[in-house]
Formats: sequence, C-alpha cells, structure tokens
Amino acid sequence: MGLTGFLTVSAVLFTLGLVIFISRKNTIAILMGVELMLNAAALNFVAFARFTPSQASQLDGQIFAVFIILLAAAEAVVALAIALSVYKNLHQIGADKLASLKG
Amino acid sequence: MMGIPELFFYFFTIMVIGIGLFVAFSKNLLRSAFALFFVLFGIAGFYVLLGGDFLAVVQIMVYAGGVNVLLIFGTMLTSDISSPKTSNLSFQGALTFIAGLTFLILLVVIINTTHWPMHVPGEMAPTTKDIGRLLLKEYVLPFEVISFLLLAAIISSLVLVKKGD
Amino acid sequence: MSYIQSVIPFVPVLPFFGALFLGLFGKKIYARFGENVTGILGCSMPFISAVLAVTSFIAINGVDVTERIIRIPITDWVSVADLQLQWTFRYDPLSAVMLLVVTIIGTLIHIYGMGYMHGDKSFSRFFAYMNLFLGSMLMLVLGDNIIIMFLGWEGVGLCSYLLIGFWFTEEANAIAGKKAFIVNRIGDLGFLTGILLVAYFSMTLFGTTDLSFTELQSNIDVLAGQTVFGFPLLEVIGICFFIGAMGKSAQIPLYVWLPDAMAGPTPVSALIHAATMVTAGVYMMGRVFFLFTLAPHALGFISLIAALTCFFSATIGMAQYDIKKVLAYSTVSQLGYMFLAMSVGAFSAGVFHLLTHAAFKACLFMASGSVIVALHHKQDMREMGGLLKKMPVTGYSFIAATLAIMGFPLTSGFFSKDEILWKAFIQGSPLLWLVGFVAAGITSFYMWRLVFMTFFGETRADKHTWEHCHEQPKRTVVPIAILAVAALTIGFWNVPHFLGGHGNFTNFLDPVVHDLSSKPMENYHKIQLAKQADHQPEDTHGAAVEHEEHVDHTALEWGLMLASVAWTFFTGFLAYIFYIRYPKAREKIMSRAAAQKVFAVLYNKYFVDEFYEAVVITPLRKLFGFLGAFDQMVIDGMVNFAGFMGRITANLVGIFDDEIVDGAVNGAGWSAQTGGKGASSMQSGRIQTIVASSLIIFIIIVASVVLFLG
Repeated sequence: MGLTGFLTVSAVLFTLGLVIFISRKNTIAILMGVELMLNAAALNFVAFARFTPSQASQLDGQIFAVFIILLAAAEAVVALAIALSVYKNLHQIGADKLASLKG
Repeated sequence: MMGIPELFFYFFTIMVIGIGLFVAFSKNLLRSAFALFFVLFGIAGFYVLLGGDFLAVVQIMVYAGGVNVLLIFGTMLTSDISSPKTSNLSFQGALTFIAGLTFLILLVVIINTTHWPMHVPGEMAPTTKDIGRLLLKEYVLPFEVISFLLLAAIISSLVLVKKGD
Repeated sequence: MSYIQSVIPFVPVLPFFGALFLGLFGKKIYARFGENVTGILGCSMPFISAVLAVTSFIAINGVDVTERIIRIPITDWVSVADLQLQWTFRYDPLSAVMLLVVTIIGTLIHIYGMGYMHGDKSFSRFFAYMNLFLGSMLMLVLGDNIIIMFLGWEGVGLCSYLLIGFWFTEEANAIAGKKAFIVNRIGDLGFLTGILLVAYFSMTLFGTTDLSFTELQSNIDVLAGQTVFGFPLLEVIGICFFIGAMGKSAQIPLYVWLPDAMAGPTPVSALIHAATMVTAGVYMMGRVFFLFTLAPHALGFISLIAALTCFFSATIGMAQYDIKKVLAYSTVSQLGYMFLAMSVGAFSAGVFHLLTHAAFKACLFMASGSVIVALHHKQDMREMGGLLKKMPVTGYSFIAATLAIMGFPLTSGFFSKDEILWKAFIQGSPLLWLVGFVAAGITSFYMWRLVFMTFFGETRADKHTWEHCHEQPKRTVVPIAILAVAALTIGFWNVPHFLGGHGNFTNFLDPVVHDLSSKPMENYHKIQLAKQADHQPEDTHGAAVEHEEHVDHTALEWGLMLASVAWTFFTGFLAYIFYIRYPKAREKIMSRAAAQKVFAVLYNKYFVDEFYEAVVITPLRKLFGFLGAFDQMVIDGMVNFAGFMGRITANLVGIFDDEIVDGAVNGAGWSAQTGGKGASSMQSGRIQTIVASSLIIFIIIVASVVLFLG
C-alpha cells in the first residue's frame, strides 16, 4: 500500500474507463467511462499529494481533486442534457448511430 | 501481518476493480449505472486512506449523490431499460480489448519502473479547514472560475432541454 | 418530571404528526375508507391535544403560584458562537389560556369541518392543512424563545395562504391567498427586524444569549438604556413588533387581507381568521408586555392605530351585504379592541377579550357557514331572511353569540369589552374611550342588522332554495351550540371587582403578565424615578416613594358601564326598527343623496383597496413597464446600432474578400478538396473510432519510447 499501489489501481480504473469509452454504444455509458477516467486522475493527484514531497502545501493535490470533481459534475450535467435533447430529437442515443460529424 | 489500513486498501482495490469490470462489461446499462455507485464509493475509501477526509465526503456527495443519480436518471429517461439487449451492445470488441490490455501493461510497467521522489507521509490531520483556507486564498481565482463554470453548466443544461424548440 | 412537563411537548407535535400522516396517506385513506374515517383521523389529533391541554390546565391550577412558569427543554437547537438557541417549550398561565383557546376551538372546528366539507374532493387535504395550522399555532404559543415563536408565526402564515386559496381553481380565491401572504410578509418584515434588533443587542451586551423570553425579561433594564439611530431601543423594537402584529392581527393599514380571506372554506374563516391566527399578534404583545411597559411612545402609537381600526372597520361592517364580510370586518374591529386594551397597559383585559372573542366569533362564523351551506353557498344577506324557523339551533346560537359580541349584560363580551373600555378611560384618555364606546354601538347595530336580515322577517330566497333549506347535521350544529354556551358563560371567569367578582382571570395571568396600574407614560416615569432612587440611596426618602392614591372609582365605573349598555341597546333597537319594524324609514333615509354617498363609501370600504391599487400597485407596474420600455428602446437600440455598423464593415470587407482573398482561397480550396476527398473516407464521424485510433497511436509512441529509449 504505497504510492505504486494507488497508482496501479488508478491505472486499472483509467483503462476500464477507456475501454468503456471506446466499446460502449450508449452515450450515457460513454459518460460513465469518462467519469471513471476522471476519478482515476483525481486519485493519482491525491496519492501524489500524500507520498511525494512538494514545495507548496501538502493539500495541493487534494485541491486539484476537488476541482476535478466539480468539473466532472458540471460536465455530467451538460453531457446528460445533450444526451436528452439528442434523444428527444433523434429518438436514440447510440453513439455508433450518431454520425453527423461524418465527413 | 497486515495492518487495518492495508486490509482496507485491498478490500477497496478488489471492490473498485471488480465492480469496475462489472460496469464495463455488464449487458444491462442500468445495472452498470448502479454498480458505478460502488466504484465511486470505493474511491472515496481510497481518499480516506490517503488522508483526504473532506475529499472523501465531497466525492460521496457530488458523485454518488449527484452525478450518479443523474446518470441513472439519464439511463432511465433515454433507453428502453426493459430490453437490455438493445441498450448495451459493445462493438470493436477485440480491438478494444487488445488495445486496453496493452495500455494497462504499459502503464503498470511505467509506474513500477519510474523512480518517484518519495517522502515519508506525515500524520493524518483534518483537512477541511486548510482546504477552505486554500480555496479562498491561493486558489481563489480557480474557485471563482469554477463557480462561473457551474453556473454556465446549469444555464446551458436548462437551455438544452428547454421545451418548445 | 411532572405531568405537565411530560405531556406538553406532545400538544404541538400531535397535530404536526396528523398533518404529515394525512398529507402522505390522506388521499388513499379517503379513497379507501371514505369521508368519515378520514375526518375522524383528522379530528383525533386535535382532540388528544385538547385533552392534554385541558388536563395540563387543571394541573397548573394545583401548582404553587410562584412556580407556574414551567420551561420544558427538549434539545439544543442552534449553537453558534454567542447564540445558544434551545428548543424549549414554555408553559405558563398565558400559554395555558392560549392552549385552551386553540385546542378546544380548533377541535370543535375540525368536527364542524367534517360536516361543512362533506362531499368535497379535497377532504383529506383540508384536514392535513388544518392540522398543520394547529401545530404551527401551538408552536407559536408554546415557544420559549422568539425564534421558535417566529417559526410558528411563519407557519400559521403559510397555512393561512394554503387554506384561503384552498379552492385554488377559482382565480379570485388564489388571489386572495396571495394577498394574505404578501400583506403578512410586510408585517413579518417588521417583526423580523425587531427580533434581529433584540438578538443583536442581546449578543453584544450579554455575550451569550438564548433569546428566551425569560432572559429578555430579566435583562430588559439593560436594553432600556440603549439607543438605535438615536431612538430609544425599546421603542423601536416595540414598534417593529407591533408592525408584525399589524400584519397578523389585521390592523390598519395591513388589515386588507382579512376580509378577502373569506374566500376560504368557512371553518377556516372561523379557525384562522377569528379564533386563533389573528390573535397571534395580541398574544405576542402579551408575551413581551415587559418590553412595552418600558416603551410608552410605542404604546401611544398602538392605541392610535387600534382606535382607528376599531372604529373604521366597524363602520365598514355596517354597509356590507356578504354575511362573512360583515363578520370579517367585525373581527378586525374586535382585534382593535384587544390592541386598545394592550396599548393602555391592560394586558390581561386584552388577553381576556381574545379568549371571549375567540368563543363568540368562532360560533358566529360557524353558524354563518351553516347558513351558507343550507342556502347552497349563497352569502348575500339580501337573499336570506326568516331562517330562524328553518334552522333553530343555528339561529339561536347565532343570537346568543350576537348578544355576547354586543355586550349584553352578563354575557362574555360584556365583561371583557367593559373592562377594556374602562381601562381605556382611566389609563388611556376619555377620547379613546369615546371611540371604543361609539364603535361598540356600531358593533351592536351591524350585528343585529345581520341577525334580522338573516334570521327574521320574510324570506327573500327563491322558492327552490327555501324549500330545500334545512338544519344542518349534528356534527355541524353541536359544535356551534357548545360555543354558543361558552360565549354566554365564559365571561364569569373575570368578573371585575366593582361587580362583586375577584378578577380571577387577571389573577391567574398575574405570574406572567402584570397590568400597569396607571397610564403607560406615568408608569414609565415612575419606573425611571424608582431607578434613580436606586442609584442615589440618600434620596429614598424623597419624591421617589410616591404615595399611591386610592380613589374610589366604583361610581364612575358603574356609570360608564350603564352608558355603554344603554348605547348598545339603543343601536340594536335601531337595527330592529330599520330592518324589521319600519323598513320604510330606512328606505326613506337611504333615498337621500348624502346618505347614499356615505353608504357607497362604506360599502366600498373607504376605497382602501383602490387606494393601494393606485398608490402601490399601479406605480410598481408602471415602473416595470418603464424598465421594459427602456430595455427595448435604449439597450436594443444600441445593440441594433452595433449590428448595423458591423454589417457595413462586413460589406466592405466582403468586397475585398470576394476579389482578392477568394482567388487565393479558391485555389487552396480546390487542392484541399481533392486531397480531402481521399482522406474523408477515414472520417467515420464516430467519435469512438477516433479515440480508439488515437489510443493505438499513443500506445505505439509510448511503447517505443519506453522500450528503445528507457
């Protein structure tokens, strides 16, 4: 249970998030993947804050995590609103079907 | 001989990774969304182990209480949850699996080979007061910016789901 | 732990519980078990509360007089720095009296409501609100500190809004509800200001404070020396508190909501707008009487307002045709009496009038509700008449309550009103007495007018209604009859000394509420003198110790009493002449232009609503309209101008663009297009593919770095 332990857990989480992001069809599931990745990043920050020496406060990493959580909340709100309005207009939210960015 | 913190660390690790796998590969999206709650809760546990008491509470309140509920709502409002088949097919399966595994191995190798600058962690102390002080002193600008961002998020989500147009 | 300490906390909690229960499950219970079960559930909690209140009242009579202030701490509540609020109930003679009024009349009205609301879709909602109201009112009464009192205060305001707008599908009702709420907010602002002043000064002067009335009373001398913006603190607080009372207890100029509040169901009018909620202001003044004792100027202001309210609303009552409106203005007028008593330092007389008024006004309202239901929801007195034969119990109860309100000798109103008039004369001024005296006559006139138009003479209802009109079921008339008996007899609790009584009620209140023995101003000076004497002990033999002059006022008291009895009899008889015996005489007078004008003014309530409309509401609307116009003209104009300038610039740029830039761009574009066509097959538009590709590229790069360079 040192720094590497936490980093490894967070790496696994990040990879899981990535896998969800790439493989899931549902937009909301993709959002879950994003949340997992953000959490993994925040976990890294906090772990580093505890185990590595820093110039400034010992809490800088935790402050970062706070901001990440807030950003994730804002992002989730907007993304879900987009998902809902897409669903309202197109009656589906499969990410594989939504290809209007196609060149 | 493992101390209590180690025991908790392994418990949370198994919980987070096991349930995380379930989130990733469950057929039923709604179940994934509910399982995500436990993953987020486990991460809050990690925060506690890392001495972030305030952070753990924020994690539970914002993620478990807010974001996760939103996700569950979103799932219920958009997909036909009674037929899990339609909602949750995965594609690019083999490619994803190989790429993900490679990525993970790569990360673990990097983590374990890098020489991190370490120091012995100090005693854990309550952090709420110091975080509050930092937020209103050193980090007051990000703090204000993020407040503005939250406001913008509220307004934009309202605009997006507004009825009519 | 004594009996009182163990049961009192349940008194307010039970109705809250009932409200919660009915609010959550009432609809299902109503659908499943019907009206009776719902109604009995709704009545049960107030009934248990009433039983507890009565037994506690009996218990407190057995307690030694010096120990009658019982504080029942429940839990710590707010504990921030110097503010140490506790959740504590206070049971003393004053709250005991209020508990009796609120729970007993409340229970009777709940039972009556079962009959009145028969067949209404929102039966369970009605009882949930009524229980909630009762709970809030009990909290207001039992609160040991100002904050709990304020909580209850706001709670009753909310319930008032909910219940006035109970039939909210009709717009007029919803508007009446809003009006009550907003007008009450204005008053509450005053009250809140007072509370904040108290809290601020308590915290700065005493360090920690719990804002309880006990603490306030023991520290009042310290507060008395303070000033705020150059005004004596207690005077300011007194006026602020009175503004709060003005809103809740419907005094000029904030009385306008009360008559409109008659839009609610009649049990609501009886419960809230006659018996309990409107008395909150009077109760509050009784609670902090020690503050007003030291604020003689505030009391002077109050007596002015009270006398005006008492007189003017009585005159309006003379010219209304809606049976409930008459009673509403009568309520406003009677509240004026209560404040009149308070303002001359006769606090117990005010509280006693509150008690008797609650009895007879609740009875009047319930009886009028019974009439309204019998006539298929007609409220216009011009379509009534002769109902005594059809509805004897209601009719006789109504007459009994009318006797009480006019002050017929030995009824409850006689004792309470006479005491007020006497105190106004001796401790206020003869002028105050005169206003009250005249208003008493007017009261008698409009009440008898109401009785004669409704219950006597030939009916003016149409034939169908008349034939279907009948006495109401037992659950409606029994509460009315009980209250009628109470209205007749309750006055014997406080028979004054000159009539051979002992003023039992005043004595009962004495541990908590002391009446002033002389005019507020004189009393104030006396206190100041006594204080100075304390500071300069060598002076104690001097002027400070004043010899109390005991003048025998018995003859004067008898005289005034006989005068008011004669006067009310006379005006009542006048009503008899005008409305029964010689209606022609009335028509003759009314046919004169001057009389018609006076009547029109009274009928339209002195045009106060129109005045508010013109002075407050219209200017606000105009202001908003102006702001809107400003926005449209100036701001939009600026935006449009900016847009216009932008367009001109854009046109200029466009010409330049077309000729020179486009040439270059087109060339570049053509080459890009040709190349892009080839590349576009890679763009699936699927974001996940893109991420997957970038992941693979990332892995390749990082892996090569780690493997070959690391």
